[in-house]
Amino acid sequence: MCGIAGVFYKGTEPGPLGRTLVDMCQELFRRGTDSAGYAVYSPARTDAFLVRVDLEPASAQNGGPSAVLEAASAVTAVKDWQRAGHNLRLVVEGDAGGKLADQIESQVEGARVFSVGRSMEIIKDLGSANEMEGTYHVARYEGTHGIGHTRMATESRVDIAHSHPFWARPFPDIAVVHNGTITNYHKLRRALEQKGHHFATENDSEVIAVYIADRLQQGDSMEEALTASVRDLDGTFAYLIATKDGIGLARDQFAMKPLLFAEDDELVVLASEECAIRRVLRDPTLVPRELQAKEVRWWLRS
Amino acid sequence: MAQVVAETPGSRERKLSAGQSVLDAQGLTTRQINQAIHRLIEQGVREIEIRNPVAQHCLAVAIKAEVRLHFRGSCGWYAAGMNDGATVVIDGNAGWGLAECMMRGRVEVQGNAGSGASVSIRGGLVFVRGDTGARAGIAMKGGVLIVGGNVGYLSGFMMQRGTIIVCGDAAEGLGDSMYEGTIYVGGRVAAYGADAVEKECTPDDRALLRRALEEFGIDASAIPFKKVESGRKLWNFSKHEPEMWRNAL
Repeated sequence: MCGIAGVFYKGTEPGPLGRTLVDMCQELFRRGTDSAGYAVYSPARTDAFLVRVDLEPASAQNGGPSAVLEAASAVTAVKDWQRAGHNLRLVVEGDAGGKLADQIESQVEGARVFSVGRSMEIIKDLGSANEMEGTYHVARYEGTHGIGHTRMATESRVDIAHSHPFWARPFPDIAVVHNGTITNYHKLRRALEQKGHHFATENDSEVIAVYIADRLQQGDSMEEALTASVRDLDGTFAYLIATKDGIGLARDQFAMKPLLFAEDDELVVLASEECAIRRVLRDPTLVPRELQAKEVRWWLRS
Repeated sequence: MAQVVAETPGSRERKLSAGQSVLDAQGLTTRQINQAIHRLIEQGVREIEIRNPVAQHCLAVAIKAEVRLHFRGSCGWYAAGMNDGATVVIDGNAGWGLAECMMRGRVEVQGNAGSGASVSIRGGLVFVRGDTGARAGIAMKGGVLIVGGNVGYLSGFMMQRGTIIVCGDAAEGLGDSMYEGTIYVGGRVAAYGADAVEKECTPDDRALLRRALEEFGIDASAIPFKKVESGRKLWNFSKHEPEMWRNAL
């Protein structure tokens, strides 16, 4: 069991994205407190990429932030950097053709790259959404759209690398949060690996991110990719996939995992349970709706 | 609403005349709300209006008195579960497992209900004005489920007795492996489940539908209902029909 949540602002201006996602994930605490995480999106930068790197204690012995900066500088120009909780946040000129994450991780032991994108940043850690907020202050983040997750681990280890959201590495700006279990994970992963994709973890949810990213790269529309996923993914799932343009979702053929959404002229909010949506809805007369089995939906900024 | 006759300063409860009370659930935990409901019932209150339930889970479960509970808003999962006599009205939505395992009483939802509405009830009436999610009325052992809108995947699965009335459409797998009981559907059925058989409505069926829907302001004569019952082919194993058994869940 896990909780998932999403927000999409329909206008072009960023909204109180962090506050909304954090409130929802805090409300979903019953669905798991092993870890929490967010993929937040702001208007895409044309001249830079944002990079989030987690630094394990081991990396401190291997040079810590300066070693990460040195590794990144070898392949691109680092324009700015800050510490953000236990993460390092870099603003860099390019992603070295998708090789930046591999470069940093191969040079600095214990460093893990959570995300690379012009628009997206992934912030995740162990513990509940409440505990995480004290370290990362995600609620302060203004953005255009985003997804969140609160985890009760079933299929893989409880550690930060196996926490959601999962970045569709190395595709910039694509991330997934998933509630459920993908039973044909190994088969799908092998098929994607044969196409040249690499996986950073042993988690079944990561395969959804790479699967969708692969389809979008091949020219599928979001609708086509989502519809194909309902056919190709076996198991139980309600997932939210986010790109720089917006959010898509799909639900499995048995409707085994809950997902509701509410929508008005200004925003869309999505969550596993209505209580999370109620906590952030400004209009109490809006009626959230549960997705049906095999239903797909998407909201994209054109 | 009757006048307030007693109000403790700082209390969430207001006693009204003639055994009526108002409970403001804002900021209260599930347990606090349920304990307050049970305490009021013990004190002889017969009508409780609960404000600001904000879709909390497990509200009004296991009520064993013939009281009326009115939720001004949405309830979360398992609302009115194990109900045994109460009338529970929910102005908003209800989450998964609405009225699960109800014995007696009435549960009315003005919005939509999540998956597993009216699962395994033995008696009583569940009414959902909007749509339900998947698996509505599965394993029903009696009672009546009325849905004003559509029902989701595998509704009526392994139903054993009772009646389901769906005014709108039904998703795939309707009535799969049902033993007995009757399902009426007004709209389109995406696909019937294993051994669910469509039949014509008789004049008796139409009279039953008219009576059942009248009190909810739904005109049964305007809806082209069809009846779904068990074909009873799955009651006993037959080696002569391997295909049917392969397809049954």
